[in-house]
Amino acid sequence: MDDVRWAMAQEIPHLRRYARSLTGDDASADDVVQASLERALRKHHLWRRRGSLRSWLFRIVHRTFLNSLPRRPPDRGLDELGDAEPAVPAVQETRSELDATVRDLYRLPVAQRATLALVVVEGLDYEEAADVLGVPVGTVRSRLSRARDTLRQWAEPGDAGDSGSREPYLRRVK
Amino acid sequence: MSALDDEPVRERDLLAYVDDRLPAARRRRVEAFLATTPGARSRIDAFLEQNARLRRHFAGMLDEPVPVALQEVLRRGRRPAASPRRRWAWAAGLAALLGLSSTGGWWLGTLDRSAAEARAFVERLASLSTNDAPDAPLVTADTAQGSPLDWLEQNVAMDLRAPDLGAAGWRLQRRDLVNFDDRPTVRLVYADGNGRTVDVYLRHRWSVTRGTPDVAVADLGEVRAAYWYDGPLVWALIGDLDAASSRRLALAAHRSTRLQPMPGGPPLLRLGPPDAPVLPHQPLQALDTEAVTAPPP
Repeated sequence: MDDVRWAMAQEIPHLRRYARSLTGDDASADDVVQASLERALRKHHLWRRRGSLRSWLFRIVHRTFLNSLPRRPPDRGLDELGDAEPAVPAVQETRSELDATVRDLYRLPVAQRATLALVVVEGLDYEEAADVLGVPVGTVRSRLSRARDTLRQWAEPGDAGDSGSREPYLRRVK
Repeated sequence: MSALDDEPVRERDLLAYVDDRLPAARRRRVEAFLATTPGARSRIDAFLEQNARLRRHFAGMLDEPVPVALQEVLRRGRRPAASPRRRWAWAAGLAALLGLSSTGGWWLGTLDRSAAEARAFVERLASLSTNDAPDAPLVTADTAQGSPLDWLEQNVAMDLRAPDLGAAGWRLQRRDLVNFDDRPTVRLVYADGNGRTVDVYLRHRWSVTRGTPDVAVADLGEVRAAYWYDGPLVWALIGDLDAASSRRLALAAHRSTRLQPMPGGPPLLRLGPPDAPVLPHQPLQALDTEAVTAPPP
């Protein structure tokens, strides 16, 4: 068990970073990570040493974050939930100091933001990201595509930021 | 180039291109497509720029110190030692012994680098080697419970083997699991052809240190102790050798036991290139615990 704790300790920086990409602020991210670590310790027997410990912990962080959101529709899958939720607003950093792309990241629906963070920031391959998020690989691809087109659209000179259209540029990629 | 490489470029190819997950031939095919399709090129360039910006923003976060509250989550509820006082004495002694620096000691937080504690710890460990009647072995090799290394291997989920010191003229004589500070510790006893023995101790450690670990040597009067850490293990080689021989033997042991990470686990602390003939180390200073406790730069 100590080896699992040791291995978990190594992953804390990645878990904090992923949680921050979800929550947008440091304090909430650390709350999510703390709750996730507590859960991981209780459930460590569920990690069978198959697959990556990091992915397993990412999955717990993701679930913990979703559970922390208010008003979770009970009958919706994670994909729909992410797309239906408004972007999490609580970005603590001064908006003007944030890179425009990062600022827009937090305007994306949760599901798209999580997928982009796992693939682009954490470097997971699509299959791993699908495993963390509990969705098919095709869904990972479509989320990436939509998230990227949306970010690109918001970055267009004509887009006025918060007043810009939220309609993403849809492409079918499955 | 296979027939597959000639297939039309699809959205999934473009995504994989942006995420650098295409085989070389397919990548060239996508680049050829982008070169003749300006609309797609500008879209993909925008995606690549997004990647770069996001990575730049999040890159520094991995180096931030871990909050104490998060460390405490993992520390709480650990398998209890004999008493909290003894456990902390162990942690402080180990921290001092290993010379955890402010840049590397993110896990333990406040460290006690007291030279006196380091000396006390090493001396206690050395007493196992010099005392004729140390703590009775809990398990010896080839018992029904398996070898001590097997036991430790299960505990740290790593690929472990006894150091091969044959090239230096030392042969493994026995393997014990001994009780040290109420914690099981593996002891490997090596002998040369002249009746001399050295003991190699290894045990799981809880503290985590980043940076390059080094083999350090302490002069304990009758014996010299060379010690180092590797991932979740701390090693010590103790015997009646001179300092240079202790270090050489320790480096040989270190090289021959370089750990493999557990499947799916995090990478171990980097110890230099796998084929490096000698581990990087600082030149030895005076053989005293003051030198031992000096943190690496």
